[in-house]
Amino acid sequence: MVNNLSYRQQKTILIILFLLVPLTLLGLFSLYPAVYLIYLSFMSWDGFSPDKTWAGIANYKDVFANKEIWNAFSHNFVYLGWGLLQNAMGLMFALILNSRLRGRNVYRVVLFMPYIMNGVAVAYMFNYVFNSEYGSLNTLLHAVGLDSLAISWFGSPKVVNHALGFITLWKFMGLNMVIYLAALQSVPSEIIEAARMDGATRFQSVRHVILPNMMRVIELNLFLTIIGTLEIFDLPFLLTKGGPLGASDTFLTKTVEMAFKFNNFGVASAMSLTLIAFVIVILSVQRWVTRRWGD
Amino acid sequence: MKKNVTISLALTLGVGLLAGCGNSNNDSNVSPSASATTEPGASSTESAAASELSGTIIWATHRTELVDTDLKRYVEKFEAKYPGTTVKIEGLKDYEQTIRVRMAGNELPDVLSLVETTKADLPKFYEPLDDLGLNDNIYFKDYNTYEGKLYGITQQAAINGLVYNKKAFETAGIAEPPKTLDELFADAEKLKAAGIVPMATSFKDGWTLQYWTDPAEFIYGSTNLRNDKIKTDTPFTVDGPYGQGLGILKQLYEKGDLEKDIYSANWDQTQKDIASGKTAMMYIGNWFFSNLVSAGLPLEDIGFAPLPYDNSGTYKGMMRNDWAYAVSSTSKNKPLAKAFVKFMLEESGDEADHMFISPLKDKKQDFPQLTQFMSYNPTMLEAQSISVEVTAAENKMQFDPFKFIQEATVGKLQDVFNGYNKKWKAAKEAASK
Repeated sequence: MVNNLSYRQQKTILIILFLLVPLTLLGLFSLYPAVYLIYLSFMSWDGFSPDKTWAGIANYKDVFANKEIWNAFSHNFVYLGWGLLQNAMGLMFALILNSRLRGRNVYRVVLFMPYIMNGVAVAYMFNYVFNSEYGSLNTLLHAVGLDSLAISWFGSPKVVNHALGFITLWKFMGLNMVIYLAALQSVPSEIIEAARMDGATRFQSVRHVILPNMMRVIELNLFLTIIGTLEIFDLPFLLTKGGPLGASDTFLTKTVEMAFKFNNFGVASAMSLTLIAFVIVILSVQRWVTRRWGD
Repeated sequence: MKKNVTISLALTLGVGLLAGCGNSNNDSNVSPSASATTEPGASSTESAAASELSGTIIWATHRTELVDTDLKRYVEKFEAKYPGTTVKIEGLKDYEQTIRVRMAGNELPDVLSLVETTKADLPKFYEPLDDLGLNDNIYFKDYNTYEGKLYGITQQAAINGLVYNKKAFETAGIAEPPKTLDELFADAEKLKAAGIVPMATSFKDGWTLQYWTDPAEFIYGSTNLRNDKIKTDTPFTVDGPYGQGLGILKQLYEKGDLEKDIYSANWDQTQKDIASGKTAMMYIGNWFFSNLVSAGLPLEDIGFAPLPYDNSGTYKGMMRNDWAYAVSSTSKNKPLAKAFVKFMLEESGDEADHMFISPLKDKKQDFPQLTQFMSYNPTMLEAQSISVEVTAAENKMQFDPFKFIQEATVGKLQDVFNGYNKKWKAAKEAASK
């Protein structure tokens, strides 16, 4: 039967057959849920009852009218601040560890280690570090006489997000550093040498030669950081449950709460899509800024 | 190489999907025969109802820590009583979420802990339990009743009271538990003077605070307080039941009678601290005793008394329900499932093993703490289910009762209440549309 078909037809059939499986899987596990999410965001549904009712854009109105949600979103920007610092430190350590330093591999491993650790384990570890009465940090502060600094880290609304932001910095700085290191090693050494022969200081060669050559990678790292911080969930969820009094709620903990605590899957879906929209907006701004700076 | 991996992965997934379909087919093949054997009256030769019970059921439970020990023992006892039956226990860690997903997929296990839905949805998911013959003998019958039919029986009843460490009271020179509100505050001062934290809250975890609305209901005189919100636009007032009731916790906080740093006070630490006598009291249900015993406090050192909510010297006590046993409406073996529920309530010995109060009114409950509690002659109130309208409005305003109590405790009461009243009014109007 195959012989009756032209080469072209055989090729088409073969391509279709090969594409069928991945496309089905893609559709089933990725596209269908995404489309369903959009569909749900226009419905009013409690998560288990068989009937969903049409809500139109009421869910989106609810999201934008709810001050608590936006208040929680503002906490994400604290993480973003720590994320930018994390990038700066990652870059700094990469520059240091790219030079001829004794035992640099040991330092690299030590700095990268937190990233390998399981997020839940990290959360519990820091739960101990930051505990106000029994925690190691406050014990240290008391020991060196800085009693006024030994506050309740997860207990004061002003500090809690910074404490959590610090943990993200600790955990992800190693990843940023490793990516920057790889980029640094791909900067051609000829250009750097040429710059040095022209009399550029170390700072000048970093500022004008190395960094512009790494623009793409800096962009990638910022991209990862921004997504990570806008979608932060595990640390506040595990460590503070959004407390004290909602001071460490983030957009995603609010979304999960909306769906599973208040049984409002419609609004929760609308929140998810709103977050996606915001991520896109912020990423475009970031791209625009880094592009301009790069030129 | 990589391609091979992808293809084989795709194939495995595909095969897995097909296998999944096969399984569910098998299930539905099994079902007619299973239900045929248990059809009541179908077999005329067998007269005894017990001998008709056979087959397998699945029992999903939220009590994961007991699955391999006590619960297994009860199941073995049941299987020994009804030979030929099998009960598979399924302990679910994230119980409520897991069951909700299965609800949406219409795949509930035969026997389960009832997950609350709106009352009108009860018949959709659960089987009426009226034929167990327990209706006149259980607490909280109305809680899961819809249109005269009973869909769930609470697995235990809990009495909320002041649980205290007798040794800690002795150390501070307190002879007996406080009888009035003033005495409560005076005792707290004595405890503080002896270096003991007077009252535990596990404030950070929040859920442990929920019992502190009891005083508000005592003052209101009924457990309708939460449901009666629907009648007013301003349910939360400083001089009303909520203000006065939550005011007790607030005063304790302001006098420094709670944990030193309430924002890091959590449940694990609280249990240890009360057991060791570092902390003296907690307002919580009687089920807490077994936690304290496993944390190392001997049972005879646990005291249990009603919480004084004013200075009159009269007491009220709150009885709350717990997760309820329910049988799924889609169960393939309802007679067996129902027999198992009845067995768990009547014969398992669960309540004696875990020191809780059986939901069966005629079961003798005797442990010294309960006798002590009852010796104060408290008027007992029974908790009520939250009405459909109130649930709808509360979900609309995203009412988190734990957070509400936290805010009322540490915030300026008038401001907190104003905020909640405003949200309540808007949500009530939106939900009634």
